[in-house]
Amino acid sequence: MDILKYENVNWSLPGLIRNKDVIFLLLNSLSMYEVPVPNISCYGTALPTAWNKNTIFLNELSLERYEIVIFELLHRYISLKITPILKFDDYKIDKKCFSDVFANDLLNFAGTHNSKVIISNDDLLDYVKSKYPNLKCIASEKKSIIEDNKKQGLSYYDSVLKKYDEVILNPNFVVDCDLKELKGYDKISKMHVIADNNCIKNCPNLKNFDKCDYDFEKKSLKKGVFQNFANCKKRGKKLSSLIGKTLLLDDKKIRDLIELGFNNFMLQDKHINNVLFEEKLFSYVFESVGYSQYFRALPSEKCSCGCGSDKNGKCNQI
Amino acid sequence: MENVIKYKNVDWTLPLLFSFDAYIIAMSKVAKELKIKNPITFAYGMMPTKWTGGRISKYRTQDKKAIEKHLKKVIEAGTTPLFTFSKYFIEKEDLNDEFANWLLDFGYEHNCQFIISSDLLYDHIKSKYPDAKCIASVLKFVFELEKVLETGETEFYNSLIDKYERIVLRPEYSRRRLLKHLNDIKDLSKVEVLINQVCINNCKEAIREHSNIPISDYDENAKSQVGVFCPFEAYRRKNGLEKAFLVGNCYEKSEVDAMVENGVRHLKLQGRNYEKNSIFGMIGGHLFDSVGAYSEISSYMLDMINNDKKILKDLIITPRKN
Repeated sequence: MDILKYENVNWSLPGLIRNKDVIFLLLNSLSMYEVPVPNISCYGTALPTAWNKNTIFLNELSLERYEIVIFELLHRYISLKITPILKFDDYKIDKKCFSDVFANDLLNFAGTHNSKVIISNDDLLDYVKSKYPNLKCIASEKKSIIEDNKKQGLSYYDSVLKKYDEVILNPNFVVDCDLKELKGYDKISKMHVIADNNCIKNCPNLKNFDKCDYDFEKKSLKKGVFQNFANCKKRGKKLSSLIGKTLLLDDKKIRDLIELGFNNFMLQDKHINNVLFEEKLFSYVFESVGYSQYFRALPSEKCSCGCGSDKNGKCNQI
Repeated sequence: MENVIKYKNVDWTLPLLFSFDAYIIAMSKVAKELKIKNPITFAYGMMPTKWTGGRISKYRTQDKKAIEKHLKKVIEAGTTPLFTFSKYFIEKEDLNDEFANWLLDFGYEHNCQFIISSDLLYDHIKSKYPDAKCIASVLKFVFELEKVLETGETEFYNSLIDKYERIVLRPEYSRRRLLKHLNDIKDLSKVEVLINQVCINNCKEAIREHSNIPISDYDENAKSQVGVFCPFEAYRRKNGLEKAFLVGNCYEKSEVDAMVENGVRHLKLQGRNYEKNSIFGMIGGHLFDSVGAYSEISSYMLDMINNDKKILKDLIITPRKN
């Protein structure tokens, strides 16, 4: 069955909690139609902890309730043979926070269930490895973006991979790099590529994670449009001026990377509604034309914009 | 910029009219901004009337002013509305229906086209408007299958090609035999290929289903029969999806590519009974090269549809109550 967009690729999908409905429905459809599950894992910040303080949490259940159910949710991923990858990616963390109970409970889950974690802070890496030496630690996109000096090129990632097991590449590096330089590079299998980052190339805001306006993010999310900065460089820009100017990888670039040996790709960890997330699955992971429509499905019990209304016509949002 | 379009020379016929028309308007704005041809050449659908066939529109109204405004907006967006007057069993007295005739009159005046399967209706339309553009619905060939097979399917289509603006081929034929008979088709530019029908080959329930659907609005017995038994689902449960694909009518990607490479210019998608959520992604995935710039386009379109009041202005958006 010709249903995958790219063969032999491992996809990491964002949104352990916020995209769970789409992911579980998809897995249910695949199971119902006896379609083999592709190589996917699911990553995310799960819930705000002392190691990722500014995680935006927008869900129908309260944060307190989720702190109880999160482990059931993680177990559910495991039972469905999807590796949940937990993200603890604050770049600056006070070492005093390493003893945070809830964060350690989540870490313990990752460490005892053959999972992985995404980290930005080197001290936290040391802490994690001291407790769970075999737990795979992935250097985060945030770390790469903050530290990756393009002049260093691959040597930066060489140095990261001495400490971390895997690394998420700075999307600017992926877009700008000369692919010939990567040919024969022996650590390609440890590198993750974000396929759909739609920020402007070389945007100065990209490094300013500490200056994200989270209240603005929440407000824009409620409107169904994600923007993490009120001064986002894309605001007010015409669509035509954005095409080709962002970090989105086109099909040719992805195939060139696969030919070089890259096989770990990710969808970016941004808040998007169920419609766009499902569409990304059927753009990047599954072939959008053909048999995939037998198992395309979206959760339809509630209006997907988050207004809480019944799907049957009370809201014109999609 | 043209690279964002998946199939460059294809005219798409999409299940959006009186269904998800906001998508049409948003797409036209995208096309204008990117200076590309609007890929939605045609959009089909129709609310309940005495002549409506296929899936019935969600929007149930006979408010002529509202319908006029709605259709004018779609037409201004650069998409031609196709009215699905494709009910097969049309009676002579149905031809006098005031509302249906009003739609015909308005549609003709505004260069809309009419998808039909009844010869009676065809004669009625052509007697009023000899140059009205009529499209032979796939349902015509479902209901007249015996005649189609007796004549020979290619010959049957050829016999109608001059009569109709376009002919929607049975997927059973187009998927399995069209490429072998390309040179035998009188005018390839007048055939339309439906690529995502999820039914089983030569479904034995098709006639019953499409006899019941048009009258299910007012006939409780017919309504209770719609969608009750699906032979494709029954086959799939027994034999698995992989085998079901082989006996189904849905095209694989490579088959769609082959159609286009061999000169088929009109492609059609079904899906008026899909949730808006699913249609959005399904259509985008067919129209656009879905990796890369399309991510930007789809976010832009979704933002427009959800937040730009001008998109919904003058469109009928209140769905049917049942």
